[in-house]
Amino acid sequence: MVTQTTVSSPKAATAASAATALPDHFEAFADARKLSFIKAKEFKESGGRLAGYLCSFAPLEALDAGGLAAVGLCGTSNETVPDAETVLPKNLCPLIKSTYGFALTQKCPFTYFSDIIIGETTCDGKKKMYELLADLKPVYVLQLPQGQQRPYAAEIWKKELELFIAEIEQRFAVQIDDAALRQAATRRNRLRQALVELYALQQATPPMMSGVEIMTTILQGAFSFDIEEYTEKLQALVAEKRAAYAAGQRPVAASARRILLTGCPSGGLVQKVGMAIEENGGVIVCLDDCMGERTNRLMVDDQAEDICQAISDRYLEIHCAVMSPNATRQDNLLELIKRYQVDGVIELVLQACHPFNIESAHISTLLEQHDIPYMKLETDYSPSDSGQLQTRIAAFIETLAQ
Amino acid sequence: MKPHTAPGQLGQIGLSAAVQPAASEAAPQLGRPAAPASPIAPIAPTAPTATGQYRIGIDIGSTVAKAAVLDATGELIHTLSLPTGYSSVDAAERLAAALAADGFAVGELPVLATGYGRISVPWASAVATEITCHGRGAAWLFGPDGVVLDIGGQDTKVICLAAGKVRRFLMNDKCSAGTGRFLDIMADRLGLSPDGLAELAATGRPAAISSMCTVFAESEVISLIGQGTPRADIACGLVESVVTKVASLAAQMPGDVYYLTGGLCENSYMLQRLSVQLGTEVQSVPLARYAGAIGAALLIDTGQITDNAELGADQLVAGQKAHQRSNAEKAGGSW
Ligand code: SF4
Ligand code: SF4
Repeated sequence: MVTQTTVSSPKAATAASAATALPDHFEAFADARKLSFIKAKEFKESGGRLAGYLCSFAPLEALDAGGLAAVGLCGTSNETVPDAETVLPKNLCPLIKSTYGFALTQKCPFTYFSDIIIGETTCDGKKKMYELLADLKPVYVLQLPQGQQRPYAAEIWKKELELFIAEIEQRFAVQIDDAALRQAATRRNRLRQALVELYALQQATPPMMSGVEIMTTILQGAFSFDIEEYTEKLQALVAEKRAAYAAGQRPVAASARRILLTGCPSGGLVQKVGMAIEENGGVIVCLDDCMGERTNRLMVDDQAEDICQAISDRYLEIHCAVMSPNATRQDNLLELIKRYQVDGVIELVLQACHPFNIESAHISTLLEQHDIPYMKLETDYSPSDSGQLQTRIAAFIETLAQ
Repeated sequence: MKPHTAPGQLGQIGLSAAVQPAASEAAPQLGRPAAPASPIAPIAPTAPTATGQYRIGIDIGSTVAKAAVLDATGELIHTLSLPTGYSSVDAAERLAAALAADGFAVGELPVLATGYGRISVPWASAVATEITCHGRGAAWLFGPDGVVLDIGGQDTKVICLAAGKVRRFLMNDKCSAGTGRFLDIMADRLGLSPDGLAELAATGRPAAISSMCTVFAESEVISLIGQGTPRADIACGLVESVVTKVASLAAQMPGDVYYLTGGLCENSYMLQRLSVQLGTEVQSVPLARYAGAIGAALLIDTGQITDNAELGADQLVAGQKAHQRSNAEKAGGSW
């Protein structure tokens, strides 16, 4: 019998019942943040339910089918890191600290108004943080297998999905049937397809869009409550960019060096790394990370007889460094390098992320063998090393140009 | 994607250690002490006449601002350095004035700026990072293959050269351990000049200095002084601490031969200790402090100069002769 990993404390219960009240410090927030709070509050008041997720492994179809709006809550800013460090160790991944810090300080409207936060047993930092997060918010953690290779891995993960579905049904008094799951999968696939088409804009030479703009677009999308609407927006954006390009517009210089970003989630490094690349003669043509090709090109077989298995299989396939071994990431990377005509690869390692940091040794050897320029950057969300990063990024791009 | 090495070329270039002067026999008249900021008359054979004939590389480091002037044939005809001081904008202005006094009007000549203060040079026609410039400059000074160690005032870089181009590089973290600044501060604490510290270090036995952090190391030095530890031993311990830090960075980029650039290039004790720690020869020449500026000048595309990677051994020797005519001045600090 699998033990349920739901942890709910009295404090969490209070947070959940104060479902639509604004946080204490609301008045002190900047206008944009106030607006987001109001938007989330109104969504809740009109009967909407919010589920926060923190990782690509979260099986979103279950939330969709249960009528919950899924919002990505990955912390991408340094703002709440000092607060988080009052509880969490300093020497921890900034994504984990930032995420926790937003819950602690009640500064993120979507974290604040989440009815439930979904986690998975991915890296050690995250899974232990979830235990602490459960003191602040209702948290549910799915137990992810450590790799895809064991014959029973797919079975376990499907079981986890079923338990999760049961939890949602019970907690929110809803019924989730196969038809609803299938419909959710079809919709999610459409969204994934729209994202894949957005990425594909960068296959053109020169690319059709700035990589930073793509990153910002995707980050904003994590907060949209309505996936249909988000899908349509993406499709419209892609159509607009294609039309502009066909009309002769070239938003990116032909001389820009084509960079692929791989490694840890890049959402918190759009300015520090993304902009530094694009201001120094480079252009990001491919995101081989959680907001990019790595995960979103994987589709659910929505025609499969066993839809639950099809969904869980799709998620299990994600080749994140938390999986061991994780060799498919390497094949996939080489394929992306070809498809996007990449000049150089920059690996982002968030400070203290052991999975990606250690795995970078494989990646660097692999790329060395294929004679593809590679640079690893280890950094966090603080601005303290931006000067040095600028120089390193500029120098790397110069080596591609020589 | 283009391959970043062309192994086939290496043989043709035919450069070897043989054409590179060892540190001791290099350009004997170089490195004369001179008043730091005083404009120096160039020993250029002729005064510059036509503009466009010369190109200037500027390297504004955290401690010293340097300039190198190349002529139309790619020969180094002038170098100059002065302390950066508190402001790189101000340093750039003083460099411009000094260059003008030497007959090189920066407004009319192509200028490429590098170094952390590169954005503070409004009269530069282009900028490039210190990695590319040091790599280019070192390839010109030493040869197209090898690993460059640049110990700067504020950071340390390790650059792997292949066929005259930067293949890979590393930089130290955001910390002053293993940099020139570290030795500057410690020399000051011991009442020595940076060069004096190295000289004295050669005579001592290393006192244990365990902290890599400049602030903590300084307090260790203070307590060693308090305990009556000989200055030579403290100096020796300090050099050892820098050498260890630099060697651990360099060990990540193994090479058959290492070249030291930056202000410590004439520090023979440092070279010796680095060679021991790395288990292979670390070479340098006095002009290596100008590697960044020379590289910057070389990067200016005049359309007349052959790419450095294609330079043959004869040209390199010609280049070395040119160095001997040039007047590389030392600034007040060591780097
Ligand atoms: S990198 Fe891996 S663990 Fe982190 S969010 Fe992405 S899938 Fe999850
Ligand atoms: S970036 Fe690394 S340490 Fe941070 S949450 Fe993802 S897997 Fe964990």
